[in-house]
Parts: sequence; structure tokens; C-alpha cells
Amino acid sequence: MIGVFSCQKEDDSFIKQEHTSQTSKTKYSITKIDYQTVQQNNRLLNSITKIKEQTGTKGSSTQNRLVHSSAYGFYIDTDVATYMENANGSYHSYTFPIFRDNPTIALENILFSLQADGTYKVSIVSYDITESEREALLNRQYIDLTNKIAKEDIDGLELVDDVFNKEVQKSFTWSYVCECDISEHIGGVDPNTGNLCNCVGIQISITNGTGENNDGNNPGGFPDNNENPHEYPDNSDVPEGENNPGGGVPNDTNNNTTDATSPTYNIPYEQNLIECLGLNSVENANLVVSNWINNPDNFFQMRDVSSYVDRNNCSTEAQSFAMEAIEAMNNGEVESLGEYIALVLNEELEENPFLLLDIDCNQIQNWQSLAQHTAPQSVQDKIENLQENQNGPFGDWEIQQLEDANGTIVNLDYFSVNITQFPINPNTGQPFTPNQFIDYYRRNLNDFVDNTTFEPYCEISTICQQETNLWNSSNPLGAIVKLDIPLNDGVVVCADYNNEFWRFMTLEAPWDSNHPVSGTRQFGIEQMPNGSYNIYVRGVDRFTSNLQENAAYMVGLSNPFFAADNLWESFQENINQFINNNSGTSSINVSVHNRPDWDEVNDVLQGRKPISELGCN
Amino acid sequence: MMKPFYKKISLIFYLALIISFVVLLIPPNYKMGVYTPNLLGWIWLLGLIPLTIITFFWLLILDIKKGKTMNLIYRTIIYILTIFIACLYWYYQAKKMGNI
Repeated sequence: MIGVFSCQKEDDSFIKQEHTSQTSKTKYSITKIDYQTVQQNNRLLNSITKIKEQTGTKGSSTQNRLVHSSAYGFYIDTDVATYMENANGSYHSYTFPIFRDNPTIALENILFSLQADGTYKVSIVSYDITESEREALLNRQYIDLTNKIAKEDIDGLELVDDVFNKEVQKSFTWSYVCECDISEHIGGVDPNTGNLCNCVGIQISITNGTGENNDGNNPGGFPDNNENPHEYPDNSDVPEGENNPGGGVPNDTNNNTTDATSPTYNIPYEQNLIECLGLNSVENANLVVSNWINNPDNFFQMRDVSSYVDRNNCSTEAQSFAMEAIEAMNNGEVESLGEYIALVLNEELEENPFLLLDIDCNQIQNWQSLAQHTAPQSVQDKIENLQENQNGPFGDWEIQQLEDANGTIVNLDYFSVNITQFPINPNTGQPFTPNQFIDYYRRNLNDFVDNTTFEPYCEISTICQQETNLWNSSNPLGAIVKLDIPLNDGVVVCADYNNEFWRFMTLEAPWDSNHPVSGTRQFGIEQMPNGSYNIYVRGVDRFTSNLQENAAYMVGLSNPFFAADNLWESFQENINQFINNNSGTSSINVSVHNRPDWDEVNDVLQGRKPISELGCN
Repeated sequence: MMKPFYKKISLIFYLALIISFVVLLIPPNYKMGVYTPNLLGWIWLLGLIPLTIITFFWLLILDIKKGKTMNLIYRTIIYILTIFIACLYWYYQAKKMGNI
């Protein structure tokens, strides 16, 4: 949500124009909201859809944010809206800009005003103003709106013909409240410059059926110097919680209803984009890009780019990204902004596999060394040698690197058990030391995991004994171990070893083909600040095959690492049980899984956030 | 009068559809190995589900050729309804497990 302005500070506000004897003091919070926020309101979306369904649609944008109604003859721009809410939240309204194919009025809005029954009353609010007045209004400068506002109620459920038979209402009570952007103003006048301050927010309350006209009371429009501009006059005509116990709209003795709105307008997409990219200045002129922007064939692409720079506040980063995207679309490299974002994201993911993860930057260090781990030269030489001399069917000898995997998700996990007292070694009857315990754990790995067995690689008989001896030795660096995973066996190589930990890297090997995931997993023991120890498994991996990832996604109910988590949780349970059964003391720590925040990724793909928002924070 | 061949395909379709749906209801840990689906999971994904799709379209073509509109409509409704319920159930379970 983009908070643009608010009218909540009473002492900063004053009334610039008052047209009725019944005037306004109720203030609304006014917030400019984006498409995503609009989408969260199902009832509002239903109302918009009804207008769309009732009249038929054409030319909706690629992302369906521009709702076109051919019968009404306008587009509702749902990309941006003004949300107004009264103090106790019992009333709110949404105001969207609307555009017509052949506009005759400078500014038109569609207003969705909450009713007591929870539905929205739909009205078209027209501002019959000049272009310069519109610019002033949108720049939050004061303008005289006397006789310039018209309101037409339409009913999204009624027939189209009825809409056009309705009279445009010009007789209603309205008040126009402006919040000053200078905190030290005197009567809305900047004491330093003597100029009128700008309206940070403009709220217009429209009450039907009073019979009063809005003209004539203040022809000049500017605040009457005789009025005290700091006062909010009496307000019985606008929604207010205490008068409105039922919620929704205020009790009104005259059976009147009040709607709150604020002029809302999106500058044309072309203009917005050209201004943001600075193409209107001589030094930045770029004929190719300007022509692309102004080409009607590129409207929806251009609109997406324009919305993108707008959402990112036309930052330097957004500007250069937009320029590159336009050039890519112009050159035919990509079809749309979304495609370009995906392309750039893919390139960045190749450089930084952690990009999609929503993780604390301090925490990421713990997995960084694993992700960047490469097998020592001796291990690489061994694998190369096996490739040359010990070939077999269904796979070559090759270490599977994390960055070469095809899976979408990078999985970072940490499963540990906290040991406060080491158990007795069943073989010696003496308590384990930390190093002895991790060694015991390695040599008896199968006792500590369920549904999988770790065995020295014996698919090629000539190396079976060598690998068995190496794995059972006191330095298993380079040992090749097979994981018996039903229907999808995997092979790993011990790519690092010391007294505190060892690391397995996944390996493609004859007879067993690829390991289902690519990456590195560390098994170790570490001392904690309080003197206790954690025995742990820490991994960083990614599905080797996208097909397998999708299959696991479907079966695992959208968590493809679901069963792998179960495996390592079984390690936690079994090791905790072993320690406590052998006179030790331990407890299972909460496991850590860092997986992508897909909402954030989706925001980036939809152009709502720049790619730089991804990654650790 | 339906030909035995048509009947057989129809029977395969309905059986595959029912079994697919029942397998969907089985908790995921019975369908997963460690990183990928287990035998049941693969049979479901690569056997039963494609079988329903293939036999559905096969029967669809036969119905269109022979003008059996009512058969076609009933089967299509049942198939779409089953897919819809299956998707809802999958989504509900995924949400319940906190995955989405």
C-alpha cells in the first residue's frame, strides 16, 4: 500500500471552501492505494465485475486492471484508487479514475461508497474543470469547484438503459476540506512566503437530498478571511461512528446519504512514462523509445511499464530498468514487461541462488559457505579418474553443482539436537566426547535415519571394497556413498572432513544417474555460547530436475521438500532418543527451513516491486 | 446398444477416475519417497491421471462420431466436477499444512 496523504492531523487542516450551512468537521483518512490492495476487497471487485459483466467488456489490459465498459463508454482504471475511511472505520469509499473514449469532461471518477448492508453504492463524480485546474487539483493546490461537481448514481445491477435515463444530480450538499501541507501555517497561509499552502489531501463529502444548492455561498472559492479556517464546523452530514451505530452509513434524519470522495486521476500512461524517463528534455531525447511509447500497438506493454515506474516512484533504478525493458521489447527479445522481468530474474538467479529467499542477511552466512563449497582438488581428481576408468550405464561420474540444478526452489535447512550431557558410548562404557560422538554418528548413520540407508557405493564391484574401507576409515574424504532412496537412489561424495563435521556433495554416478537434488549437506557438531553442543544437519540444495520438483510439489501438497524434511526430522528424533537412552541429556531444536517468499516473488514478477527487493534483508 | 469395446474404455475411465481420486485422499507421506514420489505417487501421477485424460478424450471422440450427446455431457460434467473437487481438496490440504 502506498500511503500518499492523510487528513488526520486536525491542527494542520483548514477548510478552504464551504458551501453549506451544514458544514464538515469529520475527517477521513485518505490513502492512495494500489491494485493489489483493491484486489483484497472481494465485494468491491464484485461491484466492478458487475459493471463489467452487465455491459460487456473489451480491450481489458493484459492484467485486467483496466476494466472497460462499452455501454457506459468508459474505462475504470483499477490500477490506483483513493481510499477514504472515517475515524472509527464504519464507513469507507473507493474512488477510481475513469476514462472515456471521447472525453468531454476533464476529470471523472467512479465512486464506490459503502452502504449499511455492506454493498457499495456506485456513482460517477464529474469535475467540470479546465486542464490547468485539473493539474492544480492533482497537485493538491486549491481550486474553486463551485458548480463544477456533478454526481450521477448508477446501479451496477440495473439495466444499462436505466443508467442513461437517470438524471445527473447537481443538487446536493457538499463540503471541501483541505489539509494544509505546512504545519506552521496561519489560516492556510505560509507565514514565511505569504502563499496559500497546498492541500495535502482533499476530501469532498456529498450529501444527497437536502435541496440546497452548492452555488453562491462563496463565489470566490478561497477561504473567507472572516471564517476561522482552523475550525472544523459542525458536521452532522458525514459518516461518523457515534451517529452510526449500525456501521456503514450515518443515521440521517432526512434520510439523506453521504458519500466521501477525493479527486483521483492517473496521468496518461504515455505522459507518465515520458516524464519519468525524462524523454521530454532535449538532452535525454530518445526517438526510438519515444516512438515505441507513442505507438498505439504497444499500448498494453507501455501501460505496464508506465505502471511499473509509477509504483517504484520513478526511481533511478526503475528508470534504467524500464529503458532496458522497452529496448528489449522494441528489439523483439521479449513480448512483455513480465517476460523481461522473468528474463532478468533468471539471469540474476544464476548469479545468486539465494535471491528468492526471504531470509535474514546474518543468517544467510551460515549457508553461504555450504553453497560456495567446492570439492577439494583430490576429490575432483578422483571423480575425473572414475569417469575415465570406471564407466557404467545410466550416468556419468560428475559432481552436481547447486548452480547447475534446474529446480526453482533453493532449500536451506538446519535440523539439530541440543546436547547438554553427552551419552555413554555403548562400545566403551565411557561418555562420548563431542568429536567421538560425531564420529560414532557417521559410522552408524543408518541407525539415526528412517526410510533411507547410507551405504558405500558398490554398484561397480571393482571399487566397492575401496569405497567401503574409505568410508569406514578415520578420514573418509572422497568416499562415495549411496543413499538407497526408493525409486530414486542418490549418490554423494564426502567432499570435506574434519573432527567437527563432514560434507556430502551430490554426485551423478553410473547405475544411479542423478541425485534428485544438487547441493551440499553438512553433518556436524558445534558448541553453543552456553557451553552445550548442537549436533546438526545443515543443507543447501535444489532439485536437479524441474520435472521431479513439480511432481514432488503436486504430491507434497505444494512443499516438494516435505518428505526430505521428514527424513531429517527422523534424524533429530532418533539421535535425541539415542542420547537420552544412553544416560545423556538432549532436546530437539526447532528445525529451520528457509524457502522462497512466493508473494514477494510474485510482486516482482508482476512489476509491483523491483528485483532489488529480493534477497536477504 | 453399446459395443463391448466402448464399454471397456468407459469402464477404464471411471475406474481410473475413482482410483485417482481415492489416491488423492491418501496422505502425502504415503505417496512420497524422500525427494520424489514413491511407487504409488508415480503410478498416480504418470499412470492413473494420464489414463483418465486419455480415455476421456478417446470416449469424447467416439461419442462425437456416434452422436451420443447425452453420454458426452454426463461424462464431461462428472470429469470436470471431479477435477474441481480434487483441486479444492488439494488446495485445502496444502493450506492446512501451511504450505500456501
